[in-house]
Amino acid sequence: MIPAPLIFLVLPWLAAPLIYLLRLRGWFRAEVALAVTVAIVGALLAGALPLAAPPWVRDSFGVLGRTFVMEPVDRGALVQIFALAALIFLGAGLHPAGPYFLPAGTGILSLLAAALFVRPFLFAAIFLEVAAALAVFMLADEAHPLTRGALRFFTYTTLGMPFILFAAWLIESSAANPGNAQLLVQATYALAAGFALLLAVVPFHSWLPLAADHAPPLATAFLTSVMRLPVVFLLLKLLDAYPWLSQNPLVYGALLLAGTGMVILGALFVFGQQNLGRSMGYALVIEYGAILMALGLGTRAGVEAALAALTVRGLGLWLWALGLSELRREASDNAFATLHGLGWRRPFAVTAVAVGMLSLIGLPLMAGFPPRWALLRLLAEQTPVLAAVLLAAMTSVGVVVMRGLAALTTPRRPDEVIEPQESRLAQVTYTVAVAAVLVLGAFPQWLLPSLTLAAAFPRLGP
Amino acid sequence: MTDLLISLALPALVGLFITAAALTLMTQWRLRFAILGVQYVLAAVLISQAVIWQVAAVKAIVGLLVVVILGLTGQGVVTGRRAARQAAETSNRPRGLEVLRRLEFQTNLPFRVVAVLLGSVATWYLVAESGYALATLPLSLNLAGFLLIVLGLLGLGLSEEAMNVGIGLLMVLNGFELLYAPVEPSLTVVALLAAVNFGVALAVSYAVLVPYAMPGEAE
Repeated sequence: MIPAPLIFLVLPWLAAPLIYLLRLRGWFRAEVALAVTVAIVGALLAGALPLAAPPWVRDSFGVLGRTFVMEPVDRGALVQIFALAALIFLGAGLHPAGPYFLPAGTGILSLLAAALFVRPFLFAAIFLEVAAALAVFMLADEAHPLTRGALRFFTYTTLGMPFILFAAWLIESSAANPGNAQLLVQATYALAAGFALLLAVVPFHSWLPLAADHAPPLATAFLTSVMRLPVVFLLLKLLDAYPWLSQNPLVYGALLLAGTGMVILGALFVFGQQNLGRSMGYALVIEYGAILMALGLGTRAGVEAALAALTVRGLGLWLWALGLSELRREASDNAFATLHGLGWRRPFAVTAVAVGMLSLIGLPLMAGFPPRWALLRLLAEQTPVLAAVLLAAMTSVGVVVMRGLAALTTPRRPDEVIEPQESRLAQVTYTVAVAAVLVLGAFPQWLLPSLTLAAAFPRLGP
Repeated sequence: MTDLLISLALPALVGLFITAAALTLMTQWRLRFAILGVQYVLAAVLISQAVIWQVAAVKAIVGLLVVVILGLTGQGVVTGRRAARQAAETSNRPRGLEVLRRLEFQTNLPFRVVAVLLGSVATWYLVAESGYALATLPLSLNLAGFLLIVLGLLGLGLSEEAMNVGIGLLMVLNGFELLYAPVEPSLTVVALLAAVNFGVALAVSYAVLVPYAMPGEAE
């Protein structure tokens, strides 16, 4: 019998070297096609593969005392991971990326799947760490040689891993010594420190604006959408599995506090930005904060809002990355001053960047609006001040987007005549992508299936 | 064999302190790689008190391979710097204020010495006095593990240069493994932590080398 988890571990890992070989041979289109195909096949298998169908498929396998299990709750996360990766890899077809972007990205998919499957599930931290090491290869290349953001991200992930592993040991020790409550207290602190580092909680957020500014935009999108999903799912599984954690009101208080801190800091710092990359970095700090706030509510509705936000944010990020990659063909950096007038030369790309960012912050009619609206309503019911804080943060990002649009549509000289220069393929791609964001905003019920994931975490909430 | 390794515990602990301090104080890459290699071997000697010696040997081998990876990277950087220097001499000679911008201001040695001493004293207090030591482990392992973590974090805080970050991270991981390997003896975890060490070495090597990559090579 073939173990279902093994398929998701082996398929991308086998494809990654092939993709790199295709790159070495200069067969760029074949490279992109293979990476996209692997991601799409992974998404389809994740959605349709039976977990246990004797005598063909079983749902688990073991290696040297550790088990890899695929559960129904993993399906949704896997589909999202592979589907978002397919979109981003497709974007790499439009805007050629560095030589390691696609091979490393494909290899990372295997590690993220392993992070979802491994039992005890806190050992996921090791796979997330190895994935972070591979991500460094995506975040810097010949055209983007600045590595500060990549190294900070990697440093924080590396420092977060030991806390999670120690927490796993403390939890095991607690099971052997049920009378020692101190072990669980220490495990809670270790988990708090580990997840603060992994989820870029303030003050460990500094890699986000740096990576968004220095790294290739598509790599930033991959890092902050595809690679964040397993971390949030790990947190949810943890809360679901351990009642001593999920029924502790202090845990939800800490999540709410961390989320609020991120939203406030992001709002303050994004306001003065004059750079499309850094603006997105701080918008992401706000977005992460909003997800933590939703989880911190400690209600099923909060978890649903967080999961829905996780589902749709990838689309906005992808759109932003596609558009910015197009703009970066003509500009040396992401500063508004450098991008002056590009709105006339590449109007579709600029629209994609703006719509992507506005969708991420949850502007009405965008795909990001329904989950953000749900969160605002929940916050308004419980703590209206926090709803106001989140609304102010969204406005802060909106102001920066408008300022950026003003700069992008203002020619360097008043008499300058600028002709549109976008290819037909780029125009069609951006139009379809923007339309997808608007359609999902108009018909949010199409996202409802993803919300049913919350049913798989029945024990969440104090 | 076991008796010999136990008798080497104290010298190994002292050696670990010296290597950790030297890695924080020194700047020459080649020397630091050699010291890091020694540190991995000493850590393996110390860890053999708590795990079977074969596991300790594997950790030493992994560490030495990591040092080899970093050493090869250092070699690549020397070549890259030489090429960059030649190119700069012919076409891009720094002028005026640009010269000032390229100057590097290093944190001076006295500050680093004081920081290492403070870190070491804090580690001693943390382990021996405050009760934060892991009760299931011998004092020497606790001291060594926490010392490497503290001085590794110090190294991370003092520099953002990729190789320094890498050496700091490897020190932190080395310290963590000293504390973790005895409590989690699973072979899978040993193998995965080895993969993590290789991952750190490769990622750091890439980050160190990428500024020297020739533009247009990938196109």
